Amino acid sequence: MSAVDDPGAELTAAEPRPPYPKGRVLEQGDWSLLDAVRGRPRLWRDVDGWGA
Amino acid sequence: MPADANPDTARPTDEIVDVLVIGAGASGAALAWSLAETRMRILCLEQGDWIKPTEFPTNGRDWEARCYAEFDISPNRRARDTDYPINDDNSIMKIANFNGVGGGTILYTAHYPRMHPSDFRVRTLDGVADDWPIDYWTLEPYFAENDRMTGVAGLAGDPAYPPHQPNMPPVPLGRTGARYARAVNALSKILTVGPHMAESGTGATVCGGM
Repeated sequence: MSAVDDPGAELTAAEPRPPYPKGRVLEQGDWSLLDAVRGRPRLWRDVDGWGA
Repeated sequence: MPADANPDTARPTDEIVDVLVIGAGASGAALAWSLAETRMRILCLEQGDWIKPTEFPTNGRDWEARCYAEFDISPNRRARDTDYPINDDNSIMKIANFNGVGGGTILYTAHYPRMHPSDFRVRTLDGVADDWPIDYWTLEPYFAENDRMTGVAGLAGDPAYPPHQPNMPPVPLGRTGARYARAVNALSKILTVGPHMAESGTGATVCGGM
């Protein structure tokens, strides 16, 4: 018995097959969405004075 | 098992070795590899089996069900012949492992975060546990080498971690990741894209937090 929800897969336009070995092709997406993150001050503690 | 062992024929041996490594997981296998160039005789023992990629549950359409059976992260539910029960009732951190060549990397989600410099100074900074006798920057070249050998993917410029350049390009955001990112930005939260093993990642790990 398959545990795959075929109607659900159809809704996401995903081919009803296992993830491997063929994998899935993903859109790159808009990496500029992370610009706000890159502009933030660092979040880690520079305890040794090496990371300035 | 010897580094050049044939998984189908390798068996324990009475040969005298120079180095004995217990466990062929992420740490033991990396240690054995790092010592190989010394030409010492190295024996790496592993109680579990070699797991063939074709046996992974994600090759089948019932992969989600199998992740709660013979590929469960808990040895108590997995109950393979190579497992032993672990009582983690009194621990807030529950056991997640795998007994086999590759150890926990057989099952993990390929999320590959680095430690922070402050992780080595928890007694001084936070009054808990003990400081390490070594610091992050001494280990940093080895983190980088481990990332390179493992094929870690990611983006440079994550303010959550000390500066470093991932060796592999990031796993794409995909439609799900992009939509999530827009939602997080709209809420003025922090979005991060976690480091991933490129070979295993099925999508970027996007995490929103305060």
